[in-house]
Amino acid sequence: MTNISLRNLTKVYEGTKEPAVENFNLEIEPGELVAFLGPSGCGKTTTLKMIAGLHSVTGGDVLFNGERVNDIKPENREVVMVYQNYLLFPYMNIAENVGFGLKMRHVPKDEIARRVDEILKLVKLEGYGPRKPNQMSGGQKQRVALARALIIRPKILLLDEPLSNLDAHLRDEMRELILTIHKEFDVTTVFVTHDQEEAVLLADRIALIFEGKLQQFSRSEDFYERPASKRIADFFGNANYIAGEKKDNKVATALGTFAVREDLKVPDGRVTLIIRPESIELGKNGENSFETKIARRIYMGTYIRYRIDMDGAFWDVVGDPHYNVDYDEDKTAGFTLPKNKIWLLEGDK
Amino acid sequence: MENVKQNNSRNALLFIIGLGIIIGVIVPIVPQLVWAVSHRWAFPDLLPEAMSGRAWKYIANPNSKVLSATLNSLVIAICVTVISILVGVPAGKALGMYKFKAKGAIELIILSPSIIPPLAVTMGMQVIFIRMGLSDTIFGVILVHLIPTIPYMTVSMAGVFANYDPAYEEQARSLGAGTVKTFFLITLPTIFPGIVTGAMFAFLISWGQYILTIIIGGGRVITLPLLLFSFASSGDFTLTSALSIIFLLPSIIILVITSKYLSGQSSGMGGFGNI
Amino acid sequence: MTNRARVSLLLAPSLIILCVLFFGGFLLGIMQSLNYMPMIGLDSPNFEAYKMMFTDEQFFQSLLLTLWISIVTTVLVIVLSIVSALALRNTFVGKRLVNFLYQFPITVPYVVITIGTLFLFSQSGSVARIAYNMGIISDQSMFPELVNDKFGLGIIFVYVWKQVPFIGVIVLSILQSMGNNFEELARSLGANKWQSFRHVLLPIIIPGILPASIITFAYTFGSYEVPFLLGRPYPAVLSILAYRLYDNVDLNARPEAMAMAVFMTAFLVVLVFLYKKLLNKASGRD
Repeated sequence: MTNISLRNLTKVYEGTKEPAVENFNLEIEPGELVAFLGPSGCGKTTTLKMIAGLHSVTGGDVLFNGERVNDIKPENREVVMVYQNYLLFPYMNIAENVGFGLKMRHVPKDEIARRVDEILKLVKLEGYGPRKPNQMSGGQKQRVALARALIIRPKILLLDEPLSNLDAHLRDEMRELILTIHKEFDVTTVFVTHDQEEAVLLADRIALIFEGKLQQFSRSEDFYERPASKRIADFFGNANYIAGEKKDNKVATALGTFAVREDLKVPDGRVTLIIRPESIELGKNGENSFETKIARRIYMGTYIRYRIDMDGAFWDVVGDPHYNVDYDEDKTAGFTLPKNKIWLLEGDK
Repeated sequence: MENVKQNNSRNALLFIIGLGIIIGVIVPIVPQLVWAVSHRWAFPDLLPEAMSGRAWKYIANPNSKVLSATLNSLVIAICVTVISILVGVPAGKALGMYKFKAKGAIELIILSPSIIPPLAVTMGMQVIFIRMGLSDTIFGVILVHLIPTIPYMTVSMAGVFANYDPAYEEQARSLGAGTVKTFFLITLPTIFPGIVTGAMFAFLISWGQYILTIIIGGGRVITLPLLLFSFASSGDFTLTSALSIIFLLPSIIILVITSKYLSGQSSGMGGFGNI
Repeated sequence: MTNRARVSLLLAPSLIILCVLFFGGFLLGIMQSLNYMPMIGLDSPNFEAYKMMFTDEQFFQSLLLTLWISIVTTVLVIVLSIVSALALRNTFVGKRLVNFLYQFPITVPYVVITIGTLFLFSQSGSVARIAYNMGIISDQSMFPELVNDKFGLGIIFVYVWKQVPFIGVIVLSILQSMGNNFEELARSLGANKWQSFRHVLLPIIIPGILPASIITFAYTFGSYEVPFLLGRPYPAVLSILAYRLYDNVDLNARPEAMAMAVFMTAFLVVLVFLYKKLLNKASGRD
């Protein structure tokens, strides 16, 4: 199994000044499944292609198991890339597509045929060998692309937006397949996506990238519960903010003083309090409760969403899915911020 | 290190190909430019012995056939272009935007003049042209020039219309534009660059025609290519070169205008082999 | 208006002109090749012209020369257009100029480059003069025959010069629309540079340029102007031979001229037919 280290990795494209990737440092464990997450143009695909050797490195190093691979040609790296739009060679049938990598390695024909059959069985496409790509559905093409990559037993598998092109019902299926394959082949896997849901669904750990810089590299729960900045908090779903003054594990805000956990490593002074809409409790339940006006009541089908007036700003609150509690618009209601769901950021900007 | 070496050999190769293109394109044109102003230029001199404006004086002389031949060429090429636009744009719209029965067969009919040499059919036609009094007339020549230009115009407009989204027209109509306004404000501006490019190449196809003109024009309708061929065969290199430069002018103008469209519009280039 | 009526109306002017002129002319050509022309009193068709053509040694030599020129031209054009397009895909200093010049031949009339070739490569042409002044040759007859030669080298040069950018621009747009991804994918699957060209780029480029290459082949096969100025009187290419017979003072030679025109047409039609057949076979293998 292969570990990947990126050391001060930097990429500046010819004719541009701003680096597409800047001083990127990352350690990916052997056999790990990691997501590069970020908005389009953030440099995540560039980083992926530098790992594959398809883009040259401007500065820094790419290491596999501690060995520098900057100068190794893509075809000799045993790193395979699977593209978002599958890129099945249109003039080859499925079997020829899947066997391509072996043919390039001059593997004998009968062995190619045997291994193609084997791997098509694995991706549940037995008997599809003679078909042409244009006779396959999107989900099937994706599986062919995966089979074509895996047949050469790569050290590292790179996936470009693996779930984005699929319908909702296919996503689950493909997620299962990728997780199964990842387990079976024990292959270190990195994928890029702009969709935080896709990242959360698949990855062991997520590297969040903005403007070519790594923002945070951790488990997905951490992005929800312990974001490193407001921007990161926003990228992972909705978040509510209020500025305040922290002192002795209490934060004084315009709407009252809220108690926070003792283990938050934020120094006393100006802070921003963050809480997710789904973490706020309805009703006044002792500590950290307050009253405010319901500005909007939005019926969402499976639950009700409230917009509540927070001293000029508005907060989102996810209401009761069973409709046991149902507040009317323009009425005052009570809410509680559970102490262990509050997260703090230094400063109030 | 390996990267640097690779880059060097890659750059060397690019340099050779780039230089090859520059030399290969320019050099064959250069001798004509020199010949056109030379007086005597005997072997093995690298440059002419003396310069002379003889060819240009001849060309400017109203008694020479050059002016009338240029006029003939222009009139024929412009008429051919206009007719090609008038019939080629609608046909291109039909092929590019509609699905219908026998489309394949009709495409084949329209494309066939770019496969079958127009020379072959024009020879057969001449008998009828004589009967109808079209032989030896400018009108007859215009008609035969249409054989290679209409397919070109149609195919290139079909490419334009295939990329044309009729939803824009519908949007304009729903915003209150009438049929006429929609055509002038929406349809025409969208397809205009395509028409201009197509028309210019139709012009060039007609402008460069020799054999069709001579078969139907019978040597009586004198166009620039006819003069050029007769001077070239007679061995008057100075006059040939001067005429050749005049003959080249529209191409240069057209290249400058269309070069930015060319690379994007390969679909309609089926007729460029005919120029 | 129904779609059907609208389509018919849009296509009618184009189709009428082409059918009357083109197919009318073709039909008349066939009739004349059979020596059948009732309006001038020839009303007993026969195959004399075809017999004459197929027993004429000059015809076969012309056919051979025409095929040689067209095939060599087409192969050279395909190779050079792919090589040049691959180069032009890169960014380099002066690319705008090179790009502009690359497209220049597309608009240059055949006559102009034909004359240019004559001035450049004839035995008294510029290249011969340079060779003489450099001491490579001591007499102009020592310069190899590059125009009006028996292999049609000058003719081939002109066709290649004109047609490379025509096909090359198409290759460029194919390369542009496919992007780098297919090649990158092939590399990451273990193909080296040559393998990814051979197994990935080429199979995508070739079908894209085949239709245009057939058109340029057909043009080369049937065109008159270039070999008229750069060819030998004997053997001449088919189009010249045909026109010479047609233009003969002896009107009895006309049917053979027409037979030759019919032969050229039939040859190209069969070629396109075979190509279509091949295409269907390749795409409908499953």
